[in-house]
Amino acid sequence: MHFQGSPNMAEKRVKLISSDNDEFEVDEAVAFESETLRNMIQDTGTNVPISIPNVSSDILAKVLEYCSYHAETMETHDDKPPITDAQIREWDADFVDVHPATLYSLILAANYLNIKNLLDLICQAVANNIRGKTAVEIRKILHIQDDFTYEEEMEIRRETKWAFD
Amino acid sequence: MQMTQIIGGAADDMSNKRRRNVNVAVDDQEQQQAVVYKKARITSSPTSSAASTCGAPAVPATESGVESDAGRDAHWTSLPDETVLGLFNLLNHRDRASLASVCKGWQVLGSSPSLWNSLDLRSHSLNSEMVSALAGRCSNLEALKFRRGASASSIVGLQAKGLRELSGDCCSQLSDATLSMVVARHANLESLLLGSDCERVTSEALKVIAVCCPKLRRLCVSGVLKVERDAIQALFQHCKGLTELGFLDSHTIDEGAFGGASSLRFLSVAGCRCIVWSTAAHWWSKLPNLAGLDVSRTDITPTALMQVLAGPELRVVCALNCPVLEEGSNPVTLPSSKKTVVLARFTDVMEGLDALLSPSNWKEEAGSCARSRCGGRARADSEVAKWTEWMLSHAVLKIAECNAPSLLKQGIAMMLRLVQSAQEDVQERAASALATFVVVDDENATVDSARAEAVMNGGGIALLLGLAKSCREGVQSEAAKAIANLSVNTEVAKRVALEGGISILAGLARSRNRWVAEEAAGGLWNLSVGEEHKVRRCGWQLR
Repeated sequence: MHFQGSPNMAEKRVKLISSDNDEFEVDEAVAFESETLRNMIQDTGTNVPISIPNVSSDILAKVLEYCSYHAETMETHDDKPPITDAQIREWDADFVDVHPATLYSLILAANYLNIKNLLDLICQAVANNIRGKTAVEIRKILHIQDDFTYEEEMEIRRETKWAFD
Repeated sequence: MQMTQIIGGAADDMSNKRRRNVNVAVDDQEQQQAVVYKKARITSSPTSSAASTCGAPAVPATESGVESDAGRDAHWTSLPDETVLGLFNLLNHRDRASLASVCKGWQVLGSSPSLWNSLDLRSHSLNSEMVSALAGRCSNLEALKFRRGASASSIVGLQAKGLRELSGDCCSQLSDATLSMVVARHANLESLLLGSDCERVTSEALKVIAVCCPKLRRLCVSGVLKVERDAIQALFQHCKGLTELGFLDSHTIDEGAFGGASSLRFLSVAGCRCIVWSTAAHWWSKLPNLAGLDVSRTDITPTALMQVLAGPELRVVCALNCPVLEEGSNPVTLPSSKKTVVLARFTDVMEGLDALLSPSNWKEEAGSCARSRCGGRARADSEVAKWTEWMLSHAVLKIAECNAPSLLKQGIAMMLRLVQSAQEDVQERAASALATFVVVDDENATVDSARAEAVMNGGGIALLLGLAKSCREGVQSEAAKAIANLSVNTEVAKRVALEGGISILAGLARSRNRWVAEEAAGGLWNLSVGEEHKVRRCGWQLR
């Protein structure tokens, strides 16, 4: 049984509008995964659609997918075994198995919407991708311009040399 | 464009809707990725015979995904500082150095004081060049780990005046003079741990520590030959907050010198073979605040144990591998009413640990006491739990190293339990103990299949692979070593592959930490080659 069908749940739905004007409708419990949305809903209620001007619909869909799964893991059902931590870990690992550019957008969205667990999850995924890479490789992965002058480059090499001995 | 997406509803329904509604841009991106991924798999498959023979997926080469254009829109350098700092925090110091070398903005963030309050330099040999490069960063350094006594004199050069915790491994070359100089420059030290055979350190240096570090709360030194009366007395006279003391593997300790040790809560004399137990038990049972006593690997007698158990605040006694307790024809009968847990070969260690370590027990106890005392009581109990884990991990590692056949029926369960500790030191030592324990014969480097499979059946592979994913290099290398040694066993090798171990080890094999890379490479080798090669490889592994 899906969490939505739970009889003791107040069936409050929240409408969200992405930056490119797509409308999403979710359970209040799902929106409450975000501190920002929780505050907004507590201020204005669920009648007015909430616009999220800096999150595009593809990213918002992904964020809501995360929120609805994690809201669901909090639910307990008599007729269904609870979702195990291992299952959650596996789901999370699949969730962040995306392109770095998507991870970047997700960080911004998680930051704005203040969803701490999501932010931690994504940062860990980015850290895992960076691990063991050189500065040059990291620049390549994240499309970052090298903005050091030759002298600065030499200086920073001297400064960090110890770490690579 | 107005389009309504419903998130929720029946699970199948939801995923269908999602699929229909996914933005075109995302679709493109996913396709691109899929193609790149396929490419990566094809190119990497010939070299990863290890993976294919064991039936695990090849390591996806994430780098190749980068070449697509999709990343151009992301401006990573404009992330909030807080987020980038969070990222730094998830990396070890090598990766931090790489990240800081990416661009100017991140270079500045990489030198933030908050990232420099602890350093693990165990894989480096401290030299003057390195010390001068680091000195500017260490003004906020609070915790430092180093390896080899020869490195110790350079610590002073870091100018880490605020250092509170110092921990050294392999200190057999550490002299009294060097140690005295180091402690004299770090008056704020609260914790000083000096490991394995500080045979050149004498009671003279202990007295200097007492005078120089009045804030000391925790002191643990292994291998000091003679711990003399005036050294012990000086420590308790000058360090009023000294709660935890360990003299491991010493020859003699002046048992009667603990008269002024009223602050002492935890005492370990593990591995000290020449203790006069009648004197020791007399004095130590009188310590008013002693909550934990570790007498593992000593010749403590049943009479002395009984006497020690009379201590007013005693919660736990670790007595693993105590031959005199274990050999007696009459088994030791422990008083049943006492709240003190005895962890020994003849008691149920796991049950004892449950009683000590499970937070639910603290709550129950806390519930019964007055509200104002609750917090303090729970904190005290969690200290007991932490100390017990720390000392047990020491004991099992030492016992595994001696290859004592008596390493408890309970040994594997204990090690697996300790691998799950929240303390990194404990995780590291438990993994190390597992790596050592499965090898039964150092000469021929034979791995005992019964032991290896017992570790596997206890869920050890998943736990060790979990540790291998840690960002701490010490934990990484010990976990990789344990997996490598265990994988000499064919059944275990299959399980390691099944649980995704190959990609984890492959990641570690690229580490710039020599130890980590070597252990991980050894693991991959053991997973990939035939039975007869494995044994040889394992011998190399152990050196």
